[in-house]
Amino acid sequence: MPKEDDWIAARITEAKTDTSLLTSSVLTRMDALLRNQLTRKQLTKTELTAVAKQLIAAMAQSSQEAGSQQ
Amino acid sequence: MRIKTLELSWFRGAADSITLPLNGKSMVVYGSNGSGKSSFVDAVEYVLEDGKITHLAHEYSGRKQERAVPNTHRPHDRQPELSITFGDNSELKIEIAEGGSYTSSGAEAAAMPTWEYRRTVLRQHEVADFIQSTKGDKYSALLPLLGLRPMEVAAENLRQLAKSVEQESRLATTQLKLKEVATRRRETFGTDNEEQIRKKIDGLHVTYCPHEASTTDALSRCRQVQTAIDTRIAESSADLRRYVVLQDAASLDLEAHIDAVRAASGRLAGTVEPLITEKLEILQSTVAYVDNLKDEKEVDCPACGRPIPVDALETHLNTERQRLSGIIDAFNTRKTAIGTLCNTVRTLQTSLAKPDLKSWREKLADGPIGQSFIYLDGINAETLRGSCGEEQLEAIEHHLRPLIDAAVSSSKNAPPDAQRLSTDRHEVDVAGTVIEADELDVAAKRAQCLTSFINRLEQKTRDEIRTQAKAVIDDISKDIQAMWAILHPDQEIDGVHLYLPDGADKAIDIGLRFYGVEQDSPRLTLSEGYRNSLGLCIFLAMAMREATNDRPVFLDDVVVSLDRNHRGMIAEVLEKKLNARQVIILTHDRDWYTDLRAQLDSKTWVFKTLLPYETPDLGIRWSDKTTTFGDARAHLKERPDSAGNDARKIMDVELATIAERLQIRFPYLRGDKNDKRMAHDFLERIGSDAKKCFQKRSGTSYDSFMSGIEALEGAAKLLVSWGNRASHSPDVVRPEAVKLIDTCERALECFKCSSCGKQVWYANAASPELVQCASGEIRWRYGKG
Repeated sequence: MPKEDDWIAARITEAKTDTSLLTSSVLTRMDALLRNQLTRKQLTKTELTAVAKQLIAAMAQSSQEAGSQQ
Repeated sequence: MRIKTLELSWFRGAADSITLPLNGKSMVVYGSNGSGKSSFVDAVEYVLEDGKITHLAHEYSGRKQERAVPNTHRPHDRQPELSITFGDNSELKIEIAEGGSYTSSGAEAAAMPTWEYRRTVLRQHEVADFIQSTKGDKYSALLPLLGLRPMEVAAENLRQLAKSVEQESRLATTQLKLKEVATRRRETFGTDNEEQIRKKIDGLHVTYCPHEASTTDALSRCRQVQTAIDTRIAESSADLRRYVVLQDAASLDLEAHIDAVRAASGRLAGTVEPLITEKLEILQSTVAYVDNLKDEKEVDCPACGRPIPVDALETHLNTERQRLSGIIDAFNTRKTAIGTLCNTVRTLQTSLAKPDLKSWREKLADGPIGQSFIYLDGINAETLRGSCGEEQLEAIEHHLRPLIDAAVSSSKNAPPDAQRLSTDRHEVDVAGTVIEADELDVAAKRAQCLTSFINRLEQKTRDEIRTQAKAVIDDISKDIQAMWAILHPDQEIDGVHLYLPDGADKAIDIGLRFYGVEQDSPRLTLSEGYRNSLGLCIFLAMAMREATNDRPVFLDDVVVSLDRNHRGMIAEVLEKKLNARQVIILTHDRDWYTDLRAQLDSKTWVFKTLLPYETPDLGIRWSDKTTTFGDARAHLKERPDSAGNDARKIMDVELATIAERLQIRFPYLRGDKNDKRMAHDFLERIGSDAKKCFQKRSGTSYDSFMSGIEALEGAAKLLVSWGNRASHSPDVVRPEAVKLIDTCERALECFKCSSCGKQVWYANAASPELVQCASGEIRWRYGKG
């Protein structure tokens, strides 16, 4: 019997295309969001804004880290 | 959890108290129209739907249906109540207050309201609802069964999240700003690429900052060159400083920027479209919804408001989307042009306000362009971004063009140094902005990448929903097909299945094969009766998908449009497919009730009859009349005459139905005598026909069913003597009554096959000439009489 959230990792892998910008930390964060907040209930505008900010910050941080490694 | 009892008090048609005595068993309740059957179903709906009963939701029933739920004649000190006891003796009790609000108590107060109404109750008017509902509603009805709610929630959250990312990253504003920078770059550097611009900056850096060669970062080099040029200007003569500023002003291409705004405004002319973005969003959703509207003729377009034929709606919506997207592009282009014009006005303001031009301005202030200086000082460049119509453009053109012309004229004789300093500083300013914009560009690309990722993830999630939904609905389809095959054996309507229509999200429909032709919807070919029978199969298939088999299913008058043949098959569906479930059937169809009583196993089924409704004070009442031979025997000891009469009454009812089924011809009698035929009248004719019509298999052929015929004759003889009061003593002795009951029971039993257990009228054997039991062991040939 498949688990309820078995689909998440596979769908994230399918959806990612630009791996240079979508680093593993962003993908991990999205994975965690889908296993928790995003599947439990319809989020309010305020909650969605908070999630959006987290993801934008994660993208920026990943990009800086990638830049500094180069 | 099976139900033991369902008790109503002053609820709907109920008076003080009426109990549905299920005791965990399935039940068939017969009652004529208005006898109060549906009050029991109303009670179940009331519990499952949080105090609401759909058929009572109208303008007269009150906000909490307080004018429709209580019995109209309840005593002042009594309020409606209902209580349900379950298999484990747990209880749910509901008390309804004067204003219609209710309180619930008991161990099951939280559990039972979570049952899904659509898989618990099916009423007469709801039978075809699923078939007639839109694809979206079908999907919603099935969604709880699909177990995909978390994924649905995720898909919708992802859709909204993509928008939030766009807003939070200010993607639209950043993109506009990048467009403005691109305009300035084009005006200053033409088609030069990054490398060529960098070379120009490097050249200026060598010229103005010869001692800063160690600086390699392009933006820092720009800053150093700007500072060096400003220092050089500040240290130069007053004349040169004035010429530099005049050059700055003279180089402004005000006219081109005004023309750009006018051109963009022209493209927008005539498209007064408030809320374009919102309309686009609605159009996007409507495109996904188009497939659900195919049963409509026309719908109003949510963007333009015009009525559009449904088959042309998708094309219309796409045209509207393109039109509105074009308007948004034109709107953004205009916004960029206005932004560039505002920058030009602000640069002119800054330049002409510099102290280096004080004497130049004073000299011109008393002349024809004096008012233009006043206009320039008073104008707020930022407010122009919000409102820049033709009136403002004309004012800008009227006042600022002469100022630029004056600057051009005054800087004609400027020394080459002034021209060079002005040009170099402009170039380095723009180059700095271009380099800074690179960072904005990267942020915008990150936001776009994230948005696209979330959008793709939403799409992939919806694909997953579709895949999983398909697996579940294929399973449900198998059950529907199995039940349909029982109800409609040997008919050329098959392959009934649920499917996910292509290109439509959140949609499910029903397909079938009609005489070999695939059909997308049962509404194309099926009669109302067949649609209802299909609706019943779908409801039962959905009910079978319940996680637990313990919950009851209520069927309230669901066979109204089915003919006797198909009604008869329902017992088989219930026996084969829902034998583990508690099923409560309520019907006003006496024949069907009689059929069910004969067909369903009395060990698991209870049969009850309601009295016709008399007054609200009396409420719903059970009939205490004898309904079975067993009940008649229970009276033998105390009142043998009554027991015998009960047997006769059973025969009166049963034989009338049997005579109709076997197509026994009776002579027409005057007046209402046709309706007053007694058991012995029926039996006499049935017995007579039976000699020729009632047959039993013997090897490969059929002989007269002698034991059956004898049983009928025996019963007829006894009933005649019982009915002949003149020849019978009023004091009936017990052995006589025992004999009558046994004989009558044997007579009715003879119509039931001893091998397959089905009545002789069970199937018509694909022949209009006879009926037979399921195995064909016994049969009745019409027309032989």
